[in-house]
Amino acid sequence: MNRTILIADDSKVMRMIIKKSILMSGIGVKRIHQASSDHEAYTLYKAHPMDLVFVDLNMPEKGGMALIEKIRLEAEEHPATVIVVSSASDQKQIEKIKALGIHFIHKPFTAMQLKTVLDTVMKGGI
Amino acid sequence: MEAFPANIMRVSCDVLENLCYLFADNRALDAEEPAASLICCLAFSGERRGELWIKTSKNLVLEIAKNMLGYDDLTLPAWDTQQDAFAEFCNVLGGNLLPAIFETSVPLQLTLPAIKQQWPDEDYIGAEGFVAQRLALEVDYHGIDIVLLIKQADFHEQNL
Repeated sequence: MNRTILIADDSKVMRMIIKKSILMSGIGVKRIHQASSDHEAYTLYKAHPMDLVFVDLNMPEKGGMALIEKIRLEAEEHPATVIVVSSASDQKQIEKIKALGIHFIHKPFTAMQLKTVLDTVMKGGI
Repeated sequence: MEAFPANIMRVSCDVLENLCYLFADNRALDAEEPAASLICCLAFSGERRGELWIKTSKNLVLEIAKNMLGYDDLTLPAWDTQQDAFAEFCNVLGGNLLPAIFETSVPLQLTLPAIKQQWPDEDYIGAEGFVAQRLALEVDYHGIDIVLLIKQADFHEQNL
């Protein structure tokens, strides 16, 4: 199965790293969209049904959590799996994210660490 | 300037290793400063206020960019891309270093990394009311200098 993926991160370099790691992981990819703000990401999300969304928490405008809330409100229409990729180290914040059923990858990460999370997500059946 | 404790060295080395596939070692604080440097600064605010400055040679910036982005040895990333990669490296370093240094009830707010022309000198540090801590690393014979500037009013010895 090939997936449509969205990477939302204000850093072009980090988007390139995530994209490279996704392609190295070996999962089937139909298309990878990229956005540099939560607004741009949400516009893309509305236009293209996504299977998987990578979200940076610290983004311009309202930030990654606002994007996640919007995506989750649309869950019945476009059920996408969300993976937060962030350098946030606050355990309370990370636990709060995980409690919402969202996967968390801490920056810096290796391609192998991202693959491990993707493997877990794939087992969930996306 | 005083030196950082060992755990800050470990966090810095982890970021270099996991993000850039580079292995760092301690460098003497009185060693020569990196030549032909690129300088980046992030400001932080919240329960602690200050700035994190990072400087390294342009040769190491190239290595950081190539390793982060997976370029082969024959491909040279554009200078803009190298600067973007260095800025993102500094962003991730700041995101990992600050929680390791400060125990705050709410995460500190970090500005976006900014490339700077001038390294903070003693006049700047004094005028802004900062206390300075310095970490000197060496990666493949290239130096990396990291300076943490903390507002005097927010400085607590137990954090460092």
